[in-house]
Order: sequence, then C-alpha cells, then structure tokens
Amino acid sequence: MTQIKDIDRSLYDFKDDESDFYRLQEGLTEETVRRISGEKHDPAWMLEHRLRSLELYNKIPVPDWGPSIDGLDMDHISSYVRANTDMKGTWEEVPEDIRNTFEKLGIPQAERRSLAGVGAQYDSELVYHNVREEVAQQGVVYTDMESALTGEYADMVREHFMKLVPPSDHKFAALHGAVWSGGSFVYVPKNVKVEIPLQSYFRLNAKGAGQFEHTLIIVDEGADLHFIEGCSAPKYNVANLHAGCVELYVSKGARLRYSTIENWSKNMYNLNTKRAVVEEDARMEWVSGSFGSHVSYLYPTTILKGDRSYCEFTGITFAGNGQNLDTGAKMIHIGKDTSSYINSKSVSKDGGISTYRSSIQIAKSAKGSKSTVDCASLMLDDISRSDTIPAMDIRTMDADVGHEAKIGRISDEAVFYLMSRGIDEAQARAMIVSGFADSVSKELPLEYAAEMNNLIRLEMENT
Amino acid sequence: MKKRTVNHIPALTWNALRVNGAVIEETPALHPEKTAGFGKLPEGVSCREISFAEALEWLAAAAPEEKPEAVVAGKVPIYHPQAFATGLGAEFDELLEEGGCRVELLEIEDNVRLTEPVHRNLDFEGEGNTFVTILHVGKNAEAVILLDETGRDAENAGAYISTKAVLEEGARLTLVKAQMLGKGRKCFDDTGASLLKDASFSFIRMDLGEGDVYAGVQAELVGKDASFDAKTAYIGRGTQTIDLGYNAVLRGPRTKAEMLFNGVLGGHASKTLRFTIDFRRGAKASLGEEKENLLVLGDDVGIKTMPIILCGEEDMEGHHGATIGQLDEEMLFYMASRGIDRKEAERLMVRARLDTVLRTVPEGGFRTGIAKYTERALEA
Repeated sequence: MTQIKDIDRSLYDFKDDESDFYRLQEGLTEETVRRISGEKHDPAWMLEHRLRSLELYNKIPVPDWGPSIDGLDMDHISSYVRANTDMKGTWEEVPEDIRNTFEKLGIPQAERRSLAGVGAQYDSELVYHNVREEVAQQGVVYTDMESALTGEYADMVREHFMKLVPPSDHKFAALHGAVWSGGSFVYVPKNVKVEIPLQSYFRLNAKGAGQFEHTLIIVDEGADLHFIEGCSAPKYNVANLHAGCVELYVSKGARLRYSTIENWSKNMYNLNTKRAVVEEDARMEWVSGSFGSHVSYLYPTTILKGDRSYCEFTGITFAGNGQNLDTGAKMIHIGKDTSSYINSKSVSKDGGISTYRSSIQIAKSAKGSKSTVDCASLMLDDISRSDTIPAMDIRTMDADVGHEAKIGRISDEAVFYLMSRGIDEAQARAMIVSGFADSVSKELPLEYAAEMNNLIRLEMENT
Repeated sequence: MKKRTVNHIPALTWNALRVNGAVIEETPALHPEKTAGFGKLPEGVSCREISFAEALEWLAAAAPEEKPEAVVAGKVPIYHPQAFATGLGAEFDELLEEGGCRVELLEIEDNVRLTEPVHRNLDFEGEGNTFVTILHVGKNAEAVILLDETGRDAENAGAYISTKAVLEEGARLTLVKAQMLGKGRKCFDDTGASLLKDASFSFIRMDLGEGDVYAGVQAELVGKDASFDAKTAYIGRGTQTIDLGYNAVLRGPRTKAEMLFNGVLGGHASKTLRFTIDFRRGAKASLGEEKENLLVLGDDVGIKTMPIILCGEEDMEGHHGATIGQLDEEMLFYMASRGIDRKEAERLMVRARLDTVLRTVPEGGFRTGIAKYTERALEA
C-alpha cells in the first residue's frame, strides 16, 4: 500500500524573533493606510491612490467562484511589518539573523553563482538589493519600488503603476493598491540583452501578517530579460496573506521570461495578481511552479496587444494535504497574428485540491491568431480532487483555437515496468511524477529546476 | 418579468466572462394547453397525464442522492438543487410549474423491446407550446424515441420542451431531438436522465432551426456500467443565439460518458457551449470523453466554449478536446485544384459536420425529413 507523507518543510520552516520589529496593528482602516504611506514617504499621488484603493476594497465583494477564503480575516492580519533595518547593498551589512535566513534559503550563494542582481524582501520591506556592475553599466535599472517612486524614473513608475492591474480589477487588487509595500522596479533599455537572470526573493517571517510587494518591469524595445521570483514562509497556525502584484510591459521586439517557484507555507492565502502586456513582435514567457500555500488564486494574464506578439505559459501545480490551489492562466488576443500556448500540469494528492482555470479571449481585431491549450492532471489517490475549468471566448472567424486536456492516475503498467527493472515502488512513482513535471523543470535554469525536482521529491518522499 | 438563469455550469468561474449560466431576461408566454399526444402506442407502452407536483414527487424517488463531496473546490453553491437534475436546471422547472404545465408519463414496461421507434412531432403551430414528458424505461426494456420540433416563423413565440428519463437496470434508450423551428421562435429544450446499472442512454440532438435555442442535458450515471453517449450537431446563422449546456455525472463504477459536438456558425450568430464530465468519488474505472469541432464561417460571430472536467475519483480517465476555426486554406486549395469553388467547399464541409451526427439517427422517414430540412438550410 502506498502511503504519501506531507512535505518536510524544515528547509523553509524556520522563524526569526520579531520582538524588535515595527508592526502595524492588525486590521485595515484608513488610519492603517495613512500610516503605511507615511512610513514610506509616499508622494501625494500615491497616498491618494492608496485611499481610493481602500474605498474600492470596501466595496468589491469576495469572489464567489473560487476556493473558500472564509479563514482569512483582515481584522487579524497586520498589513505592514518592518524588520529593524533599512535596505543594504551588501549581505555583510544585513543584520545577522536575517542574513542567516537568506543564507539558509541559498540566495547569496545563488547570486554569486548565477544571477545578475538580487532583491531580497523580508516581511514588508526589502532588506537587500544589488545589481552586478556590468549589468548596471548596460543601463539596466533594478531597484526597490520605493526608491523608484521618487528617483530618476519616478515619472515612468507613475505612468505604469497599477495601470495594467487597476485597483478596481478585483478585491485583492484593491487591497494591494491600498497597502502595497516593497517589491522591485526593473527597466531594461532598448536592445539590451541581460544574459543572466535577475531575482527577487520574498520571505514572510511574521505571524498573522500580509505581504503586498509590487513588481514593475519594463523591457524596452528589442531588449531581453529573464526575471526569477521565489518566495517562502515558515508555517504558523494562523492565516498569513500574500497579495502581491506583478506588472510587466514587454515592448516591441522584446522578450521577457518570468519564472516563479512559489513555496509559501500551508497557512498562506496566496491571492496574487500578475499581468503582462506584450507589444508588436514581442514575446512573453511564464514559467510557474506552485507548491505551497493553503489557498491560491493565481492566473498570470497576458494581453497580446501588438501584432505578431507571442506568449507561452508553462506551469505546474502540486496540491497536497490541506491545500486548495486554483491556478491557471489568461490570454487576451488583441493584435493580429498573435499566438499563445498554455502547457499546464497539476498533481493532487493526500486530500489536496487542484483546479486548473483559464480563459482564452480572442478579440475581433485579432485576425490570424492561434491559441493552443494543453493541460494534464494526475491524481495520486482517491481522497483528492482535480478540476479543469477552461473558458474560451472567440470573436473572429480568422482564428485557430485548440484545447486538449486529460486527467488520470499513474498507470499500474508504468509502475510495474519500473519495478521489474529493480526500482522500488516509491521511487518508481516519484520518477513518474518527475517525468510528468519535466516540461516545466526543463524551462528553468539548472539550479531552479533542481529546487523544483527537490520539492517534488520531498512531496513524494516515503511513498 | 422574472429573470431566470439556465444552463448553469456545475463549477463557477470568473463572472466577467458571463459563462456561468445563461440569463434569460424575458421568456415568451407559455401556453400549457393540451397538445397532440404520442398517438397509438405499441403493446407494453402506456402514457398518462399527471400534475407537475406529482411528477416532481415521482422523479424525486428516482433521483440520485447528492453527497457532501458534491461541493467542488470548497465553495457553495455549486450544484444547483433540483428535484431531478436536468441541463437547463431548477429555474426552468419553476417556469414550467408556474405556467401550469401538466406532465405526460410515458412508461415502457420491463423487458419490452420496441422494434419500431416511437415518433412524435412537437408541432408548435397549435395552441399549446409546452411538451413536458417523463420517460420511464423499465428493466431491460429498449426504446427509440424520435421528437421533431417544428413551427413556421413566428415573432416572439416560445417552445418549451422538457424530457426527463428514468432508465432502470439494463434499460436502453435512444432519444433523438431535431429542432427545426422557424425564425423568431425561442426554444427552451431541457433533458435529464438517471441511469441505473447497465443502463444505456444515447442522446442525439440536431439544432437546425432559425430561432434562438437554449438546450440542456444532464445524465446521471448512477449504476455500475451505465453509459451515456451524446451527439449534437448545430448550425447557427443570422443573429441566432445557441446556448447549450451538457453535464455527464459519473457516479457508479465503470461508467462511461462520451459527448461530441459538431457545429457550424456563420453570420452574426453566437454560440455558448458548456459541457462537463463530472467524476464523482466511487466512479472507479470510469471513462469520460468530450469533443467539440466548430467550423466558423462568419466574421461577426460570438463563440464561448467551456469544456470542463471535474474529478473526485482517482481511478478514471477523462479527456476533452476542442478545435475551433475556419476552413483550412490548404484544404480549400486542394478543393479548388479539383474544380470545387469556395462556396461549394464550405457547403461540403458543413454537410460533413452535420452528417456525422445525422448518420446516427435511425433510418426512415424521420431521418429523411431532417436531411431534407438540412438541405434547404444549406441552400439558403
């Protein structure tokens, strides 16, 4: 009999003492919003934006279509927690306990080995930000959002901030607009190719707190960037909330790859919003691995605005005990001859619920467009759930749309075959699941593919 | 006028897409007057009229028990409570009940195997415009029921059809519905079926008419080895709205559901198709397959498709596929090289799609009638 145990998260499940941290009282009021704005020395327009967002948050209802978020009570969430430090440019300057946290997560090591720049956020603020000299010399701007709001690129930030994801979009976009803090701003100038990736890592250490970082990336004409996002948190017995926002602008002829390995703890409500607009002849690539969280609502959205723009989404979701992960993607075709491809995999086990949800919208203007969706789900036991809820909305005859989905379990024949070659059953099942996830892991840089395979191995341990 | 939502999907999605159900702002008047019956019935088959309340009571006893795991993704309400589940759903039943409709209960006795189909023309030219029927197919009984829905062009006229079928152990039912209503008519056609062990339900639907249509089917595969096979063809033109909702709920072990939709859409027509295969826990070794092929011939069409698979059972296999697009240029070039112009090529391809379903209709006058109607539609 196969028994699948829950993941050993000791690698991620450690906590720092937060007794000397600055922490706003739990709950969400106008006073909370004004205090966050004051803490961050917002320009006047940003305070106005926050207050308008709060009004919207109070008006917009909770979604009636996804997993239950009844366990999330904003009266018990602190919207802002700041460690007793400001942002540093070298790891040596970062307070020891926080530095140790990121050391355990392997961030400084990864930076030395294979990254062009790193931003490390701890609770509500960045504690470390650095970009390699040679990359900065190319004119690449990689900085924290607060500095960007008032620095050389202030006008550019104001022009783009929450324009792709307006606070009116949904309740948690409004919440983000009201209390956002931290995150990164990236600008890649025309025709600059950033050869190695930039990375932001988000760590939520505080109990009963929310993290609301904002990531704004503008890749100018003909430029090329790979951005990696990672996240984790220790597990508490109360709800934590992540309602970040990612806005990506991919200019004419540019390419942006945005990779995420999401590994929040299983008390986390991950209500994140990601959106990209892609101009003429540009290319957007999403690579997404969702492993953590108690509840997730995550559907990266791509607006294929320019003619011949292209988007590819490759994602895997692994839902285990106590998890209800509702993930997928949205593609909106507006330009002519645009193309999109979604390749989604999901695995459910040990009572976990995995839902693939997507929408493909092809406007009347999107003549000659093509869209293909390929999704596969694997059920590892009979107490889990796996649902596939795709939608297509097509307004032109001149489009080709294909959708394929399959759902099933690990075949006994495959396990038997591997066992007949001397592999035990647990290993055989883990190998099959790794193979199932291969189309996602091969899209990641080696180190991150190894991390993802490690997560799968941990999930399948002791089977 | 009360707004009503029909063709709910069993698991909601983004409201902004407006696909969670079809909202009917206004329905044409119901006329529950008596309509022509089934006529002379073969031996072993009887028909009697009962009240709507009696019908609901009768059906409730045949409906499968809803279990707590029916709540999908931890969110309610997902399954809309209905005494006996159908595609259009509870609000359509309410409409019929409020309209004072009576119900005909057609019963086929155990072990009766009808050699000839039972044909009934649902003629909407007459006074009545509601046909509410329960089909009770006894143990190991076998029947083919053919319903053609006809009526000339008429402004804001309604056609209300409800067919609920209870298939006992080993029963086999083929139900064919051919909708050939004229312009201006709004057709609401609802079907629900409950299948016990070894029962088999073959459902064929052809939407060839020129009015708006809202049609739904729900098949509940309760017993072991029950099977459901649905084949649907439709053609949308002018400013027609075609709204289809099909749900196959696999509850018993080794159950099987297959759904095929072949459609053609042109002019300014719009089509919404929601089709779900729902594997409930306990549906071990079950299979579900759903497929849509849509040929698009007009550049002002609206197409919405939701191919859903819900799964609470590990030991099953589910597939769905959808291909939506216009005629392939290479194929057109090939046809042109053989002297077939674009218009003729379109006609051939439309006919091929419809014929795939038409061929499954039992041979005879009924099929010939549909074929003739189809030809006239293609000529137009």
